[in-house]
Amino acid sequence: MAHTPYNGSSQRPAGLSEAARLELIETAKRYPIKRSAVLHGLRLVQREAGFVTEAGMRDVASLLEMTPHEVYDVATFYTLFHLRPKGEYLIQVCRTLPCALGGAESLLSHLEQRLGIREGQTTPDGKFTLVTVECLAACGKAPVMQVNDDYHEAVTTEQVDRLIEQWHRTPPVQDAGNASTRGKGRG
Amino acid sequence: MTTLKSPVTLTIDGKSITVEKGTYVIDAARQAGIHIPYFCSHVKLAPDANCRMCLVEVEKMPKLQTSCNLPVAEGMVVRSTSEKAEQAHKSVMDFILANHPLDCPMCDQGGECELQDRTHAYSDNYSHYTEAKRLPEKRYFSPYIEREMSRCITCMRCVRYCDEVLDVKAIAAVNRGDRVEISTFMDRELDCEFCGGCVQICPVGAFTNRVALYDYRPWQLKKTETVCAYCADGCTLTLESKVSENQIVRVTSDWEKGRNLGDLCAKGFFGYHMINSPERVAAPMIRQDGRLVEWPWIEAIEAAAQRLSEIKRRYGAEAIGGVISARCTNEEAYLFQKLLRLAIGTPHVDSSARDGHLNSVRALTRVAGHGRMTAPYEAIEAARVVMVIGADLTETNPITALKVKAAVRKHGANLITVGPYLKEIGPISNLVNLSQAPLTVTPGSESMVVRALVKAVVEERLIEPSVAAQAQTYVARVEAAVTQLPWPVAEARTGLSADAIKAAARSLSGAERAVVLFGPELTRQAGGYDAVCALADLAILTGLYSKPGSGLNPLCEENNEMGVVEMGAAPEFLPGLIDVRNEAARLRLREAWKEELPSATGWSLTQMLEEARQGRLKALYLVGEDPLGSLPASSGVRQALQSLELLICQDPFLTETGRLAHLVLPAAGFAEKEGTFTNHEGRVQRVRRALEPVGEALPDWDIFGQLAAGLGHPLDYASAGEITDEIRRVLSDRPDGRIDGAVMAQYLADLTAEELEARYRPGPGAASERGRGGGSMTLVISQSLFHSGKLSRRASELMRIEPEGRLQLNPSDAERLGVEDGDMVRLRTMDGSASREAVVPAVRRAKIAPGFCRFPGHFPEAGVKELVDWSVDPVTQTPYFRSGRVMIEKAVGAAATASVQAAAREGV
Amino acid sequence: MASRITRLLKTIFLVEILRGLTLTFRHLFVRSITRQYPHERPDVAKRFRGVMSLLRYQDGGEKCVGCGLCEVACPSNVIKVVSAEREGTPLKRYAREYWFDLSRCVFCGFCVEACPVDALAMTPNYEYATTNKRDLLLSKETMLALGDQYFPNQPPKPAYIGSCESEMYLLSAKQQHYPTKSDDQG
Repeated sequence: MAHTPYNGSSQRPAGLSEAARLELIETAKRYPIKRSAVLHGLRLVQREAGFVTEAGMRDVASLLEMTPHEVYDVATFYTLFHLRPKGEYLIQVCRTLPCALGGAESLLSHLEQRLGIREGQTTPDGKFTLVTVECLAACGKAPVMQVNDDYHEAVTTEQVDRLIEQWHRTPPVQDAGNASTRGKGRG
Repeated sequence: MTTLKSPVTLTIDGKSITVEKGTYVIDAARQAGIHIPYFCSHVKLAPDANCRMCLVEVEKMPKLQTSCNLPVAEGMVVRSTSEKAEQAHKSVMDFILANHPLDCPMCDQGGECELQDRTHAYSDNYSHYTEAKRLPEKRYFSPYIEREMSRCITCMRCVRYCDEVLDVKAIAAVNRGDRVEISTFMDRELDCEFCGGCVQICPVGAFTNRVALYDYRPWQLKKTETVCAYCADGCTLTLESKVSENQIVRVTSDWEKGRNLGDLCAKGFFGYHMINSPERVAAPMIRQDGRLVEWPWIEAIEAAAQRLSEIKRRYGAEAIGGVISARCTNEEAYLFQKLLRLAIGTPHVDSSARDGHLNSVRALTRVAGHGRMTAPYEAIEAARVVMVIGADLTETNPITALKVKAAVRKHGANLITVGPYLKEIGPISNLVNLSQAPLTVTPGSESMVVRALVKAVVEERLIEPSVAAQAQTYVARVEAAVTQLPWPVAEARTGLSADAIKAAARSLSGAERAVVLFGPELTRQAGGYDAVCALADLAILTGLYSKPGSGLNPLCEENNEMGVVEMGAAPEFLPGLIDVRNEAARLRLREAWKEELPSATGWSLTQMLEEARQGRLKALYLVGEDPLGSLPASSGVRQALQSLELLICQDPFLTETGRLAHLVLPAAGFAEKEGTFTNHEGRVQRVRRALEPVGEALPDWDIFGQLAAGLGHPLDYASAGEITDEIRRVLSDRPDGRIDGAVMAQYLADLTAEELEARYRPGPGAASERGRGGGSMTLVISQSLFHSGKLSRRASELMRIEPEGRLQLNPSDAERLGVEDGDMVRLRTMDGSASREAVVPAVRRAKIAPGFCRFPGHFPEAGVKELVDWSVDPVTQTPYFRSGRVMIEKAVGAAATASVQAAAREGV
Repeated sequence: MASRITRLLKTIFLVEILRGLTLTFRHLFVRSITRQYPHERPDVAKRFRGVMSLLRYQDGGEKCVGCGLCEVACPSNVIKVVSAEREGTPLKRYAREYWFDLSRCVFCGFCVEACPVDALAMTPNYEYATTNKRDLLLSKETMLALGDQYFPNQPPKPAYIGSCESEMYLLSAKQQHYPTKSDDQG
């Protein structure tokens, strides 16, 4: 057993950038206990790398005086943190009851068919990731899907086809990491 | 019945009960003899109320309440057996069992499973669930701890225990909802302190002991409650053995018993394999034609007695000496010194407690009449300020460290750590992390910090008023003495600012209840005796000896160091810590024993070795001691042992010294004998026999009795209990851990200004420059959490956890040397023209201060012990061989010294 | 007086003996119930409790998981089970040794009832008399052979859905090169 300390390594694979580290240290000062800033730390990691990286979690842990296990605990709890690289477009389809009644299941199977991937997977070109989520709080316009930061309400399969065509052509607006600021009422 | 501070009366199931305010309903019910079912609640943990099993109906509350986190209130009416509550219990059971597999027959927890018991008591034999059960993917977790997540009921006891009690946080609840798994960072293999707490606290079989996997069913095991034989914390262990196989199968500990209250460390939980080690000596051996051959017991004892008598006749009794290990029981130490002092008639009797512990016993006996802790574990937990000096407490005394952690984390105490340690979050907990203002000092300057603290107390007028009033001369003399130590010198040598030292002194003396713990880095470094004397001054001046709940606590390494010295296995002490030169006390003992005993102060272990080299000591009787394995060659130990005419080694194992012996006697291990151990608190605890001794081995006290008979001086005891009774009779008037006021008054009056001045005069040269090695790094031979002396080297599981000694150094030093974890480094010292070196693997630890490195002392074959300085304390004869100055460089392509030596040994 | 004469007459004419012999002679014409064992063998009841045996699943795998419940259920300390992890099959619990002391067995059948996996069965065999008492200590192999002999057609192993004992589960552990305890220690 090596019993290597978590923060003892001098050679660090890409984790948080220097600016993000400083930002996290500053944020941590706002709380009576440093570890309270862990969510912010994870958001910084996701903003920089597109997903929550192992090195990023280690950095957050050492900056906030936590063990990496605790940071991993938090990161896996929240569905808005992605532990694996996700596509440029993150398509989240609501699967809660009102949307299911409104045709979410057929929407999902259409998306699966169209993109050639199953729920939870990413297309080989890294363009799309398809996931299901619980209520997106727009039940009045079921079925609903959220793509990165945008809501698409009462979507039909034709609309989906059009959107996919469009997305295939253009890269998304670079704000993907802040998705968590708007996605509410989940889980 | 004890009176309650603020009583609250409530009714539970029609039963009226009065409890302390703040008690939770579930505990109140337990006091009333009513059992409310629960899973996540536990005596060691704060309530979490996540399992929902303990729901009860409370009058005037609309919904059912979780009784484990519901504080009692006056006039509360609780019903745990109402229809509504019982229905809730059934529903919760239904939910919990929905995913629990029916694999009780192959689950090691089967038979002692809380879920099984509750299912029988609270569940219908029927489930509403017909869907498939959750079966998480099986992933390898650890070679020591088996994790089976399908059995988990997510009560989080393990995660909470690892955090709240151990402060390790090596496991976490990953994912959420029904997919929660207890896992590690990125599902890696578990790396932690391996205390086994998660295994013990798991109510189901989600965590089981992989080392004992499928080896037992709980009801097949015979349980023996005894005391751990590794460190001096004195933990109560339950050795669980299979009688038919005479084997320990596993170790557990009861949450409500002993000084440890169920908490164990890796040594206690996984270290039991040394008991049934295949390396045990099974029969007596005698040297014939240069080789050790097995010999019948009767003849071996006869030979020993005959040769001892022969030496006594030719050279006198003074040519015989004996050293007993501090791992032996009190009874054995008592009988051993009786054997030597009476049956043989020599005053030369010593123990391994000489190696450091005698420094604190000598100093504290002088001050307070005894050498025990003056603040027991409960007082440590309740203290407002805890100071730990000269010990990496988690590694040296893990359970005492838990008490300090509880003081900080549960009761908000202020912890001050003094040592060359920094903050580090790693798989092994670190007390420095819990300290708000840790004093990170220059390595080896702990004793200077103590002196500076005394100076700060005096100068800042922080002296306890009652002490200042009662001992004016003493206070005046200390005040004069500390002027010898100028602040700049203290600052330069300790690496601390005067302000930091003053702040620590202020919090120490200002605290309502303060406890100071001090350990090996103070008592086992040169000048240890003086350092403890200075610490005693600090304790007197800050009122640690007079304020209730405060105290000065010495830490011991071996399990019975405290006991063997109190039993008189020391040349300067008779049983009961009576000075050998004390005529009146000796006469009283003579009356009790009805025999004459030698009046001279005998030789200590170090003196015995010296006298053996000089040819004055002819025979040495070693009980469980291995000086050749532990002392550096520079002490001349080999030469000393080789010049003996008779060397008897009595040990459960064939040690390095044993290979030189003329006679090897197989002794029983701690699990094979009865007796008592005294832990460093001073608690005398029963040791019970769990197994039959291996082979022909006998308990040490039995061997002493037979040897005494062979010497024509019978010391007859039918059992260890008879010796206990005699000890109790002889020592009935000895102190029981309370401070002897008369001794302290005498001490304060007798202490001369000269002695005090000498104590506070800074010696020549800065502390960091001390040592002859001439290198730039300070090396300290330390203790590891996973080992204890060399005994743990025989425990196969501990050897798997930590198979080799690694030099720990700061990452910045490692970077300077270009060393990565596991790289070989060469340590070198220059002593005049002679250069000595050792090659060992290195490991980076952010905890170690720059310029400091340490190597676990449990691996003598690595040759690191040959690099340290050897000196002997002029007052207490304590050998110092745990620190030195070394040069370190990266050793490219070199093999470890240990393996080179091992290869050489095999070649022979 | 009259009764005394009657008794005398009965004594003279051996009435009681004749009456007894009548019964005897009548039995000459009734079918015999004595069996000529060992030439003639009795049919034992379906639930006869004879020598104990261990069973296998259809695929030949031992049913016994070494839980030791038979051992505690036994009122006369007949059974000794030594359980272990099966070499090469991580996490699979089995009885490495199973000893059954037939000389002490009272054939109460508690062990069969206690067995959670129906691994034990009582054969109709009652012919275990021997000249060597040591032969009455049955090993696991002997008992499995008895099981094969008397109960040859066993069902396949149930799937145990959701259990750590399921084949799928054990297979996944094996595929991950999950070491067994003996590998760990080696």
